[in-house]
Amino acid sequence: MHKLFNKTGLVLLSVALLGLLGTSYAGYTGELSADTELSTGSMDFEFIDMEVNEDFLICIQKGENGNIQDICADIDYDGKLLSVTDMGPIDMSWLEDGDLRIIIRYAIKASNEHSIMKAAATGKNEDATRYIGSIPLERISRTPRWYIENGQDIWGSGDDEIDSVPQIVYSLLPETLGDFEIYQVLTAKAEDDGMQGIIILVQTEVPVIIPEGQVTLSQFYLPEELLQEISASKDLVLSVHGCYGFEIPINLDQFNAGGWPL
Amino acid sequence: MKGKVLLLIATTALTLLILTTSYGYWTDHLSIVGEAGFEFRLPVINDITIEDQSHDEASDDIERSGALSDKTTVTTEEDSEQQGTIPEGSEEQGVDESTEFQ
Repeated sequence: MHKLFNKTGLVLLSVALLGLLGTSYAGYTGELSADTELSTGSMDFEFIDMEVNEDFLICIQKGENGNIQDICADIDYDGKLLSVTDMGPIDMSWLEDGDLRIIIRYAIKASNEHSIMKAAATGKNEDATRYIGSIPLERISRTPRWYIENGQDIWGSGDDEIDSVPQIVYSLLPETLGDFEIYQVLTAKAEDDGMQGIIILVQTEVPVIIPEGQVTLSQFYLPEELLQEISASKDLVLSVHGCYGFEIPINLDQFNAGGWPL
Repeated sequence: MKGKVLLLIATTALTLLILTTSYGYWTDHLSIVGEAGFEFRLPVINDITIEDQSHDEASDDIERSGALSDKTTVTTEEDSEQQGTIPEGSEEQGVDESTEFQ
């Protein structure tokens, strides 16, 4: 009896209890695979590879009742990760009223029939929209594109004579576009054993976009020959294209025990 | 000795259990990552002064005739209208207010 509670015995007992705990939790959450049970006990979905404008869609909207405008994007699937790159460009004037909505429609599928049946069964009883949280749209390190144009000619990114992005371009781009609230809508698609999800990014604040003061040509410190060429033009306009990144975790807790109330 | 071996095995098993569970937890979430491009447009004030070549040539003629000893900088009418304030530090970057273009 004494030997049962020595150091080795206690460690072995702890391991056994942890194993049983994991198995019990996984069993409670309805997973069948031992691997999945030990990994998460809940997630058994992955993104469906699909074509743009088929199931997948990205669009922007001014306010809840505003017109919806499709925007271009590149998409890439890696099972559990959906990468959406090169969205837009979106004119920053869309942010001026603080009511921009970015809508991303995607599709997921369950890895086994049991999961999708359960998802479909629970999904019917759920409130359609779920608040996920708030995230900032922050400028990422990708080199911004900039151009000075006069209606006929364009100078800027890509010109051989220009070695780097002028510092004034970086200073004009805001570091952040403010916080966006994230909402998710998930609906089961009975016809193809999949689920359609819609992520809505709702702007919550108006960022300071246009900097104070005026932009002058000399602030770009361009090569002399190029400066001569540009300064001979009238009505110069600068266009700046910056890239802002975000990451959204997809919450599927409502399809597992202990998630949303039924 | 037997106890030590059991202890080692148990510790290894426990470590593996924790590692696999943690790995599964952190890698098995669905997520969407995005990069959105935003752009804006601003007017640029042309504050660079260009010397008018024809005026320069005329000035050179005058200089040669000895009537004018100092070089005169003449700006075009368009540039005079658009000329703004040269920011501090422009000379350091080689962009001078009186930059002479040929």
